[in-house]
Amino acid sequence: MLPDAPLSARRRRTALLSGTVISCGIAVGALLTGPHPNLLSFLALASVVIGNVAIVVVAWPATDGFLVGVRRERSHRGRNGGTPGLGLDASAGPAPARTGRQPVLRAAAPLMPAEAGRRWLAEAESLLSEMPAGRRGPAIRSYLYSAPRLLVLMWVRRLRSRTGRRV
Amino acid sequence: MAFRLTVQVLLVLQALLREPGRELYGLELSEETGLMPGTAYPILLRLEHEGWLTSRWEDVDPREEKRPARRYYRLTASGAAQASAAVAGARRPRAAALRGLAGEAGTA
Repeated sequence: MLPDAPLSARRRRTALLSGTVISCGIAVGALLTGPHPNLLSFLALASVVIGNVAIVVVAWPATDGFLVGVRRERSHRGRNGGTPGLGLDASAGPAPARTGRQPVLRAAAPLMPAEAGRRWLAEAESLLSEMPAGRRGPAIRSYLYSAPRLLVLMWVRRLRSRTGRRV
Repeated sequence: MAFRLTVQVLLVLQALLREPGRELYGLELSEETGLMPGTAYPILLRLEHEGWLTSRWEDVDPREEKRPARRYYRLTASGAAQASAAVAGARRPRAAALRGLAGEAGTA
């Protein structure tokens, strides 16, 4: 993914990852070299690491911004070229229109099983792009409110399908 | 049936049963049922998983249409029969309760 990316997008991603690695490194280093590592310092370390991971998960799709148009223009994959920005294939359905891109939903989609997440995102962006602007906010919130339940449902279904049981 | 027939599920089924052969996409369903799209989506997934619905991506060119393709949902033949039975079954207790209330009012 990185070699094709325009320079500024690559820089943003590098900066994001570097910042995460450096801050996690400092936190781990401080814990290991500190005088009396205790439960509190472990908890502080854990919160730093979790915070960093959360920032990466939320900010990563945003670094992808204008990559979408550039890569689609280059690749000429047609209208079923997959959902861009997540390394997605065509099986999830058509790529959403650029105007309908929803960063918050894009941050949540990778938490779901790959195919289900792609479909959820493509369908949500398709629907939201046709919705009047005034109704989009509540609709996005409704997708986000239902996401945790959906996430559990999809993962349980995925795990059970692997073990041959039906949900 | 591996899911509960909640009011929301019944609303989705009723919307689909109005014209069982007709395909509906998310926004239409949301408008017909009054449900938010985020609420309707898990219901549609469950119904599809149970084989009551089928879905497909619309075959259009988004550049020509100036909008992304829609995902259309339609009741399957067995799904339509099961949905009709489920909706009728959900109505029956309500009708019985109303008759019961009317009877109580008559005797009082």
